[in-house]
Order: sequence, then C-alpha cells, then structure tokens
Amino acid sequence: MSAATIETTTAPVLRLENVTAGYFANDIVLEDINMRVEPGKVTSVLGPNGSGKSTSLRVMAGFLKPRTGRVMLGDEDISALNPAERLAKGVAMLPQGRSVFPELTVEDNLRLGAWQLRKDKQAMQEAIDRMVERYPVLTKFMNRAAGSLSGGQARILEFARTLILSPSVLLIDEPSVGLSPLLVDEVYDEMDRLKQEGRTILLVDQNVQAAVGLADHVYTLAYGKNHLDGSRDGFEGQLDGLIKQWLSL
Amino acid sequence: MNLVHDLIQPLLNGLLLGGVYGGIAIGLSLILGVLKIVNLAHTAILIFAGLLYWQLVSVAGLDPLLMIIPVVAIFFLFGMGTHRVMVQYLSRASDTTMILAFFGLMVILESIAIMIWTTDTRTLPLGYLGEVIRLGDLNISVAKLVAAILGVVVLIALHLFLTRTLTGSAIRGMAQNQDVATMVGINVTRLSRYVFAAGVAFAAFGGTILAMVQSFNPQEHARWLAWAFLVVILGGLGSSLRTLIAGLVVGVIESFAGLLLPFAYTYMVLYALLAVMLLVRNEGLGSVKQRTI
Amino acid sequence: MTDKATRGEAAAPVEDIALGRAKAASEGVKKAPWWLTPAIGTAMFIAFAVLGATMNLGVVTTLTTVLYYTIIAQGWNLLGGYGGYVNFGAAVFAGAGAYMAAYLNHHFDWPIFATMIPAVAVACLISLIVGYATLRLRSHYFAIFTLALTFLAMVIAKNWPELGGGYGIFINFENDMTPRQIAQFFYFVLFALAIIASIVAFIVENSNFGYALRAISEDEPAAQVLGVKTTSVKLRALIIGAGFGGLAGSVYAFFTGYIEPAGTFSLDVALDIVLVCVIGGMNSWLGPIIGSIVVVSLEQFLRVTVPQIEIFGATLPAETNRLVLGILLLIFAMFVRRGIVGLFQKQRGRKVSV
Repeated sequence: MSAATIETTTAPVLRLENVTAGYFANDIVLEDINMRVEPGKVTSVLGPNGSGKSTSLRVMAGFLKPRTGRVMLGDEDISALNPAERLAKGVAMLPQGRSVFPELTVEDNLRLGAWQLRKDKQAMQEAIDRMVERYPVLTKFMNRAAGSLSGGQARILEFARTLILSPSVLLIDEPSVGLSPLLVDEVYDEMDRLKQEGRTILLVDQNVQAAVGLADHVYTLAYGKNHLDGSRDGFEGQLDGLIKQWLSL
Repeated sequence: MNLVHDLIQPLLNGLLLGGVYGGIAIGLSLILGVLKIVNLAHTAILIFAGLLYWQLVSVAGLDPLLMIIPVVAIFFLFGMGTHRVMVQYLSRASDTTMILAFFGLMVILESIAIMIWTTDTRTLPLGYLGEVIRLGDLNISVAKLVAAILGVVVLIALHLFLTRTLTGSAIRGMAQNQDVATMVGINVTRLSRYVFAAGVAFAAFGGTILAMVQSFNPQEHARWLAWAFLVVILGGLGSSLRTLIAGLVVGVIESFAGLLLPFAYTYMVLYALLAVMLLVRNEGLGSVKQRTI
Repeated sequence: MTDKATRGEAAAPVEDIALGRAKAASEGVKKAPWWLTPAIGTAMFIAFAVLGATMNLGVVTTLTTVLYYTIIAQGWNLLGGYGGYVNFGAAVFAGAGAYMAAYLNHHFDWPIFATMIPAVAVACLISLIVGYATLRLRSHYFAIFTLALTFLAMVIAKNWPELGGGYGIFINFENDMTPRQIAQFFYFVLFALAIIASIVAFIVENSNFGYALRAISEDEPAAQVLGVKTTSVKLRALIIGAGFGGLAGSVYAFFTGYIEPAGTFSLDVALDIVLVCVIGGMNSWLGPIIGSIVVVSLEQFLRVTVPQIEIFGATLPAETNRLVLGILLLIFAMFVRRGIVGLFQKQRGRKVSV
C-alpha cells in the first residue's frame, strides 16, 4: 500500500528568501522574491506571462541558481544544490509540457524516474509496483515508446515518474498547457487527490480559476516581483479583476 | 559468368569489409548521437591507435588479438582526460567553436602520430591471422573474418548494453531529453564523460580492426572520416544495429563498385552516396541548446 | 511583430525585423567610431605597399604569401566567420582556381590575367553545387563534407590526365622581367586583389547581408523563424568566398609555376586559412589581414628555428610545425575565441545557466 498520507508535520518548509535571478548575465527575471510552500498545503503562483512564475519554480527545483538570496528547505540552505541533489532531499518537479523520454518505453521511463534507487533493485521494483498500483492504466502501455502516448497517457506517466520516489514537495509547472479541457479536469482531479493525501504542492498555472480553486494559499507575481499574497478565500473575489488586468498586459 | 567468383566472393568480401566499417563508425555515431558532438578527431584517434597497435604487434611481437585490449584501454583513459580538460570546458560553446577545437585536436594527434611513426605506410604482420580459408571456390581471409566478427560482436554488445541495462537506458534518455535526465538524478556530466571516453575507445578499436585488414599511414586518416560519416548518416543515429547494417551496406557497395570501376572511382561513388545521404537524411542535430555536455 | 498591425499601421516585413534585431544587438557591441577599422586597414595596406616597394626578395616573397592568404581568408570569413559555418573548403576553391589557370595556361597558353575569370567561374560553380547540396543542413554536415571534399578533389586531380595526374602541371609565365620585378609584379597583383577582397568584406560586414549572416551564426533556427532566407544567404556567402579563393589560386599558380594534387588540395591549406581567421578574429574584416601576418610569420619562424632545436641530441621533425599550429588552434578555440581583433571588442552578456 502506498504512503497515502504524507506526514505534514515532518515535511519542512520550502521557501525562497529575497531571491533575484535571471538567465543571461544582465538579465533580471526575478527580483527580491519571497515565497513559502507550507507543508501539506497547495500553494498556487499566478501572474501574467513573463512575470516569473515558472522561473521561481525552476529556482526552487535547482535549474537556475539565484544571483542573490537563497532557497531554503526547512533550516537548510539548498541554493547550491543541483536538481538531482534536491530530488534526493524530497523536492520533485513536474515540468511544463512533455517531459518523458520519447524513445524509451514507459517502463524504462519509470525505471529512470527511480534512478536514485538503482543500487537497490528491490526498492526500485517496489517503487515501480507502487506507481502501477496507483495508476493501473499504466499496465496497458508499459512497453510502448513514451513518445507514442496520447497527451493524457503521457501526463499519467509523468505524474507516476514524479511521485515514484515519494517526494515531500511537488513543484508542478503549468500542468494545463497543451491539454484539452477534459484532460485538464483529469489533471486537476489527480492534483486534488494528491491534496487530499496531504501532499505539499507548489503549483504554477495560467488556468487561474482552477489554480485558485485548488489552492490553500496564493501568490501573484508582477514583472518578477511579489505582488499579492494571501489565503485562497481572500482571492476568490478579486479573480475577475486580476484576470482582466493580466490579459491586457 | 561464374556465380561464386563474380557474385558471392565480392558479396562476402563486402560483408566482411562492412563489419569492419561498422566498427569504425560506431565511436563517431555514439558521440554524435548522445552528446551531439562531431568528433572530427575520430579518425586521427583511429589511426593513432592503429599505429600503436602496429607497434605492439609488429615491433614488440605481441599477440594481435590480445593487444587490442590495452590499446583500447589506453584510449578510453585518453578520452576521459580529453573530456575533462577540453570537452567539458566547451560544453556551452557554439557549434563553430566545437568544430574548431576538434579540428585542432585532430591536427595535434595526426602530427604527433607522424612525428612518432613518420608517414610510412604500415602493414600489420598477421601471423596466424594471415591464413586463408578455402570453401570450394571461395577464399576467406582469416584476418578479415576475425576483424569483421569482432566488429559485429562489439556492435551487438553495445546494442544490448544500451537497450537492456539501466545505465544504457540512462544514456539513451540523456540523449533524448537532458533536462529530464538531470531532474531524475542522472549525473549528466559524469555519464557524458563515460560516453565520450567510450566513443574514443571505440575509435581506437576501429583502428585495431582496420589495421588487420588494411595498410595505413597517418597522413590519410581523413579519408576514413568520410567513410565513417557515410556509415553514420546512412544508419542514422541512435541505434548501433542500424550502424552495423549501414556498415555492411557500404562495404558491399564498395566491394561491387571496386569490381566494376577503377579504384579511384570507388571513392567517387562513395562520396556521391555521402552527398545523396546528406540531402536525403535531413537530420537536424540541434545546436548548443540540445547538446549534452 | 504584431504591435504595428494592431495600431493600424502596415506591419514591417518580417525579414527587416529580424535584421533590425541583429543590427540592434550588434550595435550594442560596436562602441568604436566607424572610421577606426578602415583607418587601421588603410594604414596596414600603406605599410604593405611601402614594404613591397623597398624590401628585399625574401621579405617580399613572404609578404606575397601573406597577401595570398589574406585574399582567401577574406572570402572564407564571409561564411566561415560572420556566418559561423566553419569549413575546410578553402583548399578546394583555391585549388580549383589554380588548376583552372594551370590547365588553360599549359594547354592553351593563356596568360595570367585571362585565366582569372575562368578560375573564379569554376570555383564559384563548384561552390554552388556543393553549397546547394549541403547548406540546407546545419554547420556540422557542411564542415564534414568540405573535409571529405578536399580529399576527393585530391583524388580527382591525381587521376585526371589533363590535369597532370600525380605529377602535376607546370605553368609558364611569359615575361622578360628581372627576378625582383617578377616578385614585385606578383606582390602588387595580390596586393590589389587583397585590397579588393578586404573592401568587399568591409562592405559585407556593414550591410544587411552581413547582419543576416551574423543572425545565422547567433541562432539559425531563430533567424529562419524570423524570416531570414538562411539557405540563400549562406549560399551567396559561400560563392563569393569561393570566388576570391579561386582568384587567389589562379595568381598563385603562376607565382609558383608548378602545382600538384597533394600540395594543392591538402588539409594544411585548409588548416592555415582556418587558423588565419581564428587567430585574426572571425568577426571583423581586419581579422584575415592580421591573422595572415601572424600565421605566415609564425610558419616562417618555425621553419627556420625548429631544425635548430635539439632535444636529447635529436632534431625535431618537420611535423613539429604542424603540431604547433594545431595546438594554437585548440588554444584559440578554447580561450581566445574572437581572435586578436576580438581582444579589442567589447564583450556581450553571456548566458549564465539554464
């Protein structure tokens, strides 16, 4: 039986402290960002295109080092750790778009997802079995090339791969992009299931309604800086106004 | 028309030659397919290894089959070192810079090879490999047979490694999507180093089996580069089995072309084939953004 | 791209936008006054003229080679330097020009100036065929193919009886000049051609054509998406470059009086030209001039001093020169990517991490 409920009290808080970051030498995408991901809660990050939402996720995941400021996991400064090292500490990311190995089988994709368990064959097999139990539909296409899967099927594989090491924090980047409305509903259903299980989630999405609906806490960014920040209830009234603002930018 | 003499013998010779060609091309294909790097120094390495191999077998009188191992091992280490010192440093460089750097490496290796061994053509003394097996009207050179078998075995072994082991999957995954590979915890830098070193080692291996079937001299290594690229492009990247088949095809084509045309024109047939292949197989290799370190 | 359209104005042609961006990007780099490089170039050519008129035969001959390389390198640098398509075709095009000139002279007694046009034509034709086949693809394939092509050219020349086969061709330069006058004749012919080639390079560098090439070098997919007709631009750069190569080759055939396949279509020539541009600087029309001076001087220096060096009682083989050039190329590729001229150019922001 998989770990259906994650211990919320032991999951440390993942946060950005005064982070400034950019991709090119003189480029600033994030400026003095502060953000907390509370354990056991869903935190949504919203904002118009170019506001730095995905970038803040990438900084948390380790794909971009902060120029100033730091990334903290509990009491530990993980700013210098690369994505693999952060994964080992329980921080997993589900990136935007397709993130499978297209020419490898679904099974190989899962096995690579559990790469950090490679020294212990039994643990790896157990992790894979757990994911198959959680997503039984995987058995239907275990031996197919991941690139041949439909959007929905690939998404399931991606979820399975992200969860396979039982991470304590999930960073989910724009899960709605490129999917039909029906599939978006399914994705949000799955994220709701994760939420009911008590997982810690940081969600970035353009789909403002759904992202706010799922959230416990909401951040909004504007031009790379913190804008608004508060619990979900406070946001529901402001949504229409915010959306209008962002679309006109 | 004698069926055996005019058809089967050249076919056999072509297949045997093709097995060697596959072995010559695989190092280039591996580095290109996984790391997206064009190793222009591939044949310089190959010839250098061939000469070292020749030195051990011909001058020191050691066993030709055994000596493949230390030669390949030495170049594996050389590949590890080269990756750490040069390739890693250039990981974010443009394609242009990469080509220049590898061209420089090619010139360096070629020059050193000539300095040590001069431009004399070398032929490997085959010893017990120099026998010829006769099956009816067919002549099969033992050296060519052994070289081809070695080539085939190595390619099949690589194929099995890449498709049946977890590390093999990791290598293929890394080639397909480096970001996700990093995300799941694969140490892309270290794995790339091993792949590069393996590619160099395969180049060295190619040099040893080539030495078994051909005379060679260090000034003409560039000619083999065209052959190797032809096989790589024909077979496509990403599968050592397809590289093997491509090698066999090229070998057979060359064998039959050699029957019908004067030797020099064989070159032209193959170059024309290379040009056609380049036109037909519009393989976008991607550029810096997609390159694995 | 759509801003002007929504405001009701006519949208600018996509290609202009791409070039505009490239222009803007490079404008950020060039802070030097526009007359600086022409001034330096003019000064150098004046120096060349003076040296050519006054120096002894040995120096003039060396400088003749400098000018020869300059012409080929200016041509090469259009696609190879500005466009980022490093290739090994220099030997092929210069060699083709040389062989055309040699053929016409040897069999039909054509004099030097008459052979120039056919030489340019044949080089351009070959480059058109080769380029058409391989320039649709990316830079690696083109580089590989030119490497193979060099070897192929050698094989063809070796096996073509009209071209002298393995023995080569002798070229007869009819004249009644003294050796010094002959040397100066060739010197100033190449001098004039070098000036023309450099002016062409300067014009290209500062034209839309040059910006297109640079856009291709920076990010070809982006340039394509933005509307730059990449294949056509690359092909034009290649053909112009090949033309200059052929031109230089034809003169050089008369200068040396004898050409044969191995020396003409050797990778050493390709190496030299690539090295000239890398060392001089691939982003500037001054690069090939400076690079030629450095490379030819260096080779001369090596030729003289290497045989005099003794290690453990043995002299170094001639190959050492080539080794030095290879090491130099590697060092420049790794550490001095923009060459000598680049040392004086302002650096742009580099990408930090992914």
